[in-house]
Amino acid sequence: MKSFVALVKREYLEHRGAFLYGPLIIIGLLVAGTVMPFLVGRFRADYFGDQIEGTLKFYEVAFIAAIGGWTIYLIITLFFYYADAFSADKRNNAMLFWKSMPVSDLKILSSKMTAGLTVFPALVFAAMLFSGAWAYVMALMVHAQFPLFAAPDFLAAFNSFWRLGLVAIVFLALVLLWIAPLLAWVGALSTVVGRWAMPLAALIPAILVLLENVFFKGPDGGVIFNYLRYRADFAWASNAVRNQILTLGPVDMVRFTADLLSHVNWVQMVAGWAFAVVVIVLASEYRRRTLD
Amino acid sequence: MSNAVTTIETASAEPIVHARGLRKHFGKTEVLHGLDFDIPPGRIYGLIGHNGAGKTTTLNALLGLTSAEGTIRVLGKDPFAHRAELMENVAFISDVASLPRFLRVRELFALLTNIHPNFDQQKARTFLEGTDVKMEAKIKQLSKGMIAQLHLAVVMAIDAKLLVLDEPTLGLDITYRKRFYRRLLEDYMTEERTLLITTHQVDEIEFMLSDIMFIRDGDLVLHMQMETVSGKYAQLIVGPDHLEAARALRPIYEETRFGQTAMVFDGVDRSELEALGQVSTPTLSDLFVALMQRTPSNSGAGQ
Repeated sequence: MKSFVALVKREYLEHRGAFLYGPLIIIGLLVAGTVMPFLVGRFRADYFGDQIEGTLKFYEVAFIAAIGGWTIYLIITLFFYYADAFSADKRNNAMLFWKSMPVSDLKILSSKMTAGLTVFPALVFAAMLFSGAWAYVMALMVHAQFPLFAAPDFLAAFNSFWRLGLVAIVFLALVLLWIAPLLAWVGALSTVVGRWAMPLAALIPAILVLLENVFFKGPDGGVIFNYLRYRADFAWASNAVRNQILTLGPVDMVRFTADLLSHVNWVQMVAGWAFAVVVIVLASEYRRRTLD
Repeated sequence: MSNAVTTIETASAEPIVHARGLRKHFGKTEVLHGLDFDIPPGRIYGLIGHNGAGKTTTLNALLGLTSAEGTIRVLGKDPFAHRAELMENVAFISDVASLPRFLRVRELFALLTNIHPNFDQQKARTFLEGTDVKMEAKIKQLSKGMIAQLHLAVVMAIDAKLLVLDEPTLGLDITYRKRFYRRLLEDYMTEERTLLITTHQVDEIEFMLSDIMFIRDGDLVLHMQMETVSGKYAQLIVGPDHLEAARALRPIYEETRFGQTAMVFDGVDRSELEALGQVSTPTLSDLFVALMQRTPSNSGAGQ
């Protein structure tokens, strides 16, 4: 276990750029992009003025938007992380060093998989929380420009903050577990073909879809295409988010979480994990048998 | 066993490495032709051969880095099936440039402390004292020589029973090479440890070897203790007047140096040779040249 944790830490040290420095730069731009216009009197909140009931709802919507934005950022960076990290030892000529360590190839690839599903999302989650806190500052700015809107009550905002924070954890965990098979697929491909995993991750399914449609008669678009479209849909998440944004009252954490959990197809979720485990084991076996 | 091999059994102790019928194919080409050898504990072995002779493939098979046919046991284990487990007691350097470049030296040591149960961080720090390698330095900013020192410090800080070095000083200057081998010998070797080393600079490691194995085109052509070399092989420097008499004793190798002829003999009584000229024990590089003559596989390609 100690060595596994150390390997996860190694992933953090090697790939922290996109998950630590990247979010810090974005946060810096966000802060500068709101503070500077406010200081020079060019902060414009009138887009929201006639659409939002009060600054608290503005705050919550801004936080939810930040959660959504950071989730998209996380998915994109994880895609590149898995395409890069699983072949990094080969590319950096460090394969022989890691093979001289008393850790199996399966353990090394599992540590990469784990880092991508725990440490890096945790860093992005921290960025989400900061964005949530900053949304409160932005709500105060809206109030300063439109004094008719009540200033967001700190306690109410804090209440929303932790509720939305908890919702974000559940949301993020479900999204990651849902896309785990995609990430494992990209990582396994990367083990074999390096960064070519990026185009091949889409090209291989596209070829399979094409072959199915050419040689087999099935439903419109084919079984594979419809299944992939279903996996990429995230309908279970978007409905829950929409329900909370459109309601006039504060975000209902219990309903939000229940909405998310009840709409997830758990059979598909478990099937995805099984696929992820199989491809990672196959990739580790490939890595065990090859040096170049 | 390959047909021309010369083997002198060295010890009765349980061997650290045991190989029988070791074969390896790359596609349809067989690159190892059934090697048989044992490496007992506490010895310093030199595995010597031309480029492409099969040295690295042999080492990779011993280290579990590649699959091979035949029987291989390292510390009693099948290395390909149990590589991770085996690496607790086996350390190796296959390429000094293979250290993870994104880490600082301090981070590398901290990681190794948690990853390798037999790594002693304090020892590694001690080995680095007196070098230019700083704990806060990033590995990618170190020179090749400094990386070699760091890598050596890492493997010497691992309490391993077998240390395998595959061309560990390739590309390093003579100062680093000498320092590398001196530290290895002075600070690392004990009776319980076994060292297996390959290099092209055979003269530089000759002083430290206890045993040698010559590998040629995937066959083991020589496997013996260094102290028995003088009993079996002799080098004769002979003048023109005794040339034909010396040739009658069937040297295995002959070359002309500065007007004199040097011959290497296998199993010829030294007293017979002494009557013909100056007799000495051939150096490892002389023996290598004598035993490893080969016809290049594409020698007829230009015809």
